[in-house]
Amino acid sequence: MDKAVGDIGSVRLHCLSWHFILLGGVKKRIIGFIVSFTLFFSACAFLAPGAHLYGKGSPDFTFHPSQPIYITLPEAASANDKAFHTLLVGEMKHLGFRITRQLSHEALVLFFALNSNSAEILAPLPGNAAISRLPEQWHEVSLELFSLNPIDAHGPVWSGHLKVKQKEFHANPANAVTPLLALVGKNYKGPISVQAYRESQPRTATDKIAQQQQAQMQTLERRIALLESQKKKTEETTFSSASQTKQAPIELKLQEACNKRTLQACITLAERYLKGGEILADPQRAAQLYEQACAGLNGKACTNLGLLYYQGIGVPKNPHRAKVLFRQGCRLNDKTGCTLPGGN
Amino acid sequence: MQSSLKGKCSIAVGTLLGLPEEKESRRIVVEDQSSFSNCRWCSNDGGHTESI
Repeated sequence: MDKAVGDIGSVRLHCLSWHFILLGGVKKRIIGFIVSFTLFFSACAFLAPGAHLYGKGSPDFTFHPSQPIYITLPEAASANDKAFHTLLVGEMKHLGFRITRQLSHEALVLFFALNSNSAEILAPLPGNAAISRLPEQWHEVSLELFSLNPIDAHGPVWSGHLKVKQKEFHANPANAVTPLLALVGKNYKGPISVQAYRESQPRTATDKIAQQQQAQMQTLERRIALLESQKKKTEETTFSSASQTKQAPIELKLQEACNKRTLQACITLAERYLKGGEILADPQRAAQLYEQACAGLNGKACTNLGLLYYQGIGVPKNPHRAKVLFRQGCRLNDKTGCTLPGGN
Repeated sequence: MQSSLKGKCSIAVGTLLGLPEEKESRRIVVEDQSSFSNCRWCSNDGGHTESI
């Protein structure tokens, strides 16, 4: 059964080290491993055993300094990759990562390998000895970048997928990683997260998912309209406080759709909880729903969640968190997010 | 027309969230006032807008 990438809950990383990959010939790789050795010790020097890694499911998600976390420095990085790396390094520093040594401006990608089928962290990428022990079904790597800053405990600050065939990976781990670098370099637009998909399902572009969700939402809106008209016929025009505490059929439908990852349904439901009226206002629930939709890459949800943090509605007031979310909303094409402080 | 201009102004958070504007709603600075019909120029804000 697939599990959302972010829902890694109680999974623990058992150890931590650093690894340096240079794409290219043997000589370059040797240099790379020397550097990785240096990085290993520099990393272990500042990360204490059991240091918390904040993300969805925190605080059960814990660092242990014997499981590798890889830092990949592609020697022949494109201008695009360099720009991405600069951005990512800034982001990591901003989010509280401590970088003891930066070898070049072409730094740093931090990622974990995750078996999307079992949601267990099996091995880091790439070239780890543990890879030879990976099960057959290991075909997809889910990568997540977490912040060490408690304010980012809502989930990974970056995550993505790379489909890796085991035999290809064994044949040439470095080549298997190259598409990842391209993926990250081209697609990174700030803190985002994506969800795992089933192997049987075709890989779908984000905009295609959005179109599907829009179609689902239109169907849902038609249902809501129908329910509302039925409701008007059958119910009293006023609600008692007792009836307000119950979830109305519309909310149930929206919740159902939201649970099925129709993000617009989450947003509509969040708005209803914010406004109150027909249902009891529940800002905390609204914030949770926005967070859910934001984690599903809906820009408006991120922006609105940021506004909740800015104002302190349903969540503790946190201007810094608000800025991060405005930026996330902007990068997910929400224009309002781009106009707000820190959004652009 | 003012709506064609660009610059900083402020808008109530509640308005951005689609809520009825309330007195206690904080105002937030937006970079492009042309995006919002009810944006208030910061210079006329009377110091009510907080920066973050």
